[in-house]
Amino acid sequence: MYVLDRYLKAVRQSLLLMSGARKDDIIKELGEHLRSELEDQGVAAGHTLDEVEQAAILRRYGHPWLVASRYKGNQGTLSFGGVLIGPEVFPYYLAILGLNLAVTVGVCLAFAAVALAVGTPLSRVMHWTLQWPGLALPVLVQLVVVTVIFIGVEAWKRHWMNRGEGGVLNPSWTSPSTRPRWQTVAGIVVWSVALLWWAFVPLQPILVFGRAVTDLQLGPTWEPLFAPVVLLLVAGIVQRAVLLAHPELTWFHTGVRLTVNVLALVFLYWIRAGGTFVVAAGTAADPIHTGHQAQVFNTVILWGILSWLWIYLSFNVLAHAVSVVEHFRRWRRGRKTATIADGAQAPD
Amino acid sequence: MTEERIIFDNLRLELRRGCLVLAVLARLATEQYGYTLRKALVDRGLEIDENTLYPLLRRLESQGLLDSEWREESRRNKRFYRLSPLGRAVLDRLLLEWRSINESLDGIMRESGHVRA
Repeated sequence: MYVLDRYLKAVRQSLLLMSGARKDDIIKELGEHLRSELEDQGVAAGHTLDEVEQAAILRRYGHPWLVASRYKGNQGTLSFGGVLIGPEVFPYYLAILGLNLAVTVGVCLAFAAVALAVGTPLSRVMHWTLQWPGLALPVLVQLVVVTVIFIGVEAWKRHWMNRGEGGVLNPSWTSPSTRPRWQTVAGIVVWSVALLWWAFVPLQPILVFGRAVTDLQLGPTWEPLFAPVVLLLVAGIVQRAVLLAHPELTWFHTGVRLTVNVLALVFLYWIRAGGTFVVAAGTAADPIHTGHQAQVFNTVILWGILSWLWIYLSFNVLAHAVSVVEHFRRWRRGRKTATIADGAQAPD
Repeated sequence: MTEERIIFDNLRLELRRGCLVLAVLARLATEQYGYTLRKALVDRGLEIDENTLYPLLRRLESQGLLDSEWREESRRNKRFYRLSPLGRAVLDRLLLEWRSINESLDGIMRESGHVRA
C-alpha cells in the first residue's frame, strides 16, 4: 500500500488550517475507504493490485490538493465573466492573500513605528502611510500578484484534472527526485537580477536612494558586506545552473542551499550590532535633516529588513537541514538495499 | 465542452445537491460506514463520489443530524454513521417537503404538456 500511504500523506499535507486531530480523523476515514476500494478491486481482478494498478484507481479520486480542499467550508469563487478561481482553489487563495496582506501591513506599520521611535513627526508618518502610494501601493501590488498567480494555479488545476496525472501516484516516485525546471529557471532569473542590482549599487547609489541620492551615500558597513554577498549570489546562480543541467541532483541543491543560508545567517550575526548602512553625504543641503533621514534608513534596514531576513533564513536553514537528513536516510536505505541485492546475487 | 453541456451540468449539480442530502439521511436510518453507504447509493442509481460524500457526512454530523463512532469490523477500524434523533425529525420534515414538491412538479409538468419519465 505504499502508493496509498503516499497519497494519504499528500492529502494530509494539503489539509491546511485544521487541527492535527481533525486531519488524523479525515485521513483515517479516507484511508479506510480507499483500502476497502483497493481490496474490492483486487478481488474483482483476481489478484492483489500492484502499485501501477493502485495508482490508476487513486488517480480517479483526484489530486490530493483537490481532495483536501473539499473538506474546507465556505468555498467561494472569484468570477469575472467566467470562473477565474474555482471553489477548490479559492480557500487557498484567501489564506495566502490574507497572509501576504497581513505581512505587508505589518511591515509598513513596523516601519512607521520605527520612524516614530526615532523622532519623526506623527504627521509625516501618517503622510507616508496613508497618502498615495504609502500603504495602498504594496497592498494593491500584493492583491494583483497573488490573484494572477492563483488564476494560473486554477488553470494548472484544470489542465492537471484533464490529464489525470499526479506526482505521488507515480509508482517510481521517491519524494521529489527531480526539481521542476521552471523553478530552477525562475531562480536563476531572480538571483541574476539581484546580483546585477547588488553589483551596480556602489556605482549607482540611485538604485538604493532614488531621488535622495544627492543627500545620502552608502555607509561603511557596505564595503565588507559587498564581496561576501556577491559570492553567495554567484553560488546560488551556479548551483541552479548545475541543477538545470542535472535536475536529478536534488541533494546538491539542498546541500548548497543549506550552506548558503547558514553563511548568510553568519553574515547577519556579524552585522547584528548595528551597522551603518547609510550616512549623510557631505554635499547635503540640510545636514541635520539628512542625518536624521540616514538614521531612519539604518534603523529600518536593521530592524525592518534584516529582522525579516533572520526569520526567512532561519526557516530556510531548518527546512534544508530536514531535507539533508531525508537525503542521507534515503542514501543509506539505497546502500542497504544494494547490499542485500548483492548478497542475494552472490554465488554460494 | 459545449455551452449547453456546461449549463446542464451546473443545473444538474444544483438539482442533485439537495437530493443527495435526503438520500444520505434516509439511508442512515440504518447504521453504515462510508464505503457501504456509497455502494448502497450507487446501487440505487445515485452516483456520488467519495470527495462529496465524506465532507457531506462531516457537515451533517457537525449540524447534529448524524452521530458517528469508530468501531472495529473485519479487523479494521471503521467510522459508523447513523441518524441522530434530530436528524430523524429533520428527515421526516424534509420528506414531507419532498413529496409536496414532487406533487407540485407533477401538476406543473402535466399542465405544460411535459410527460414525466
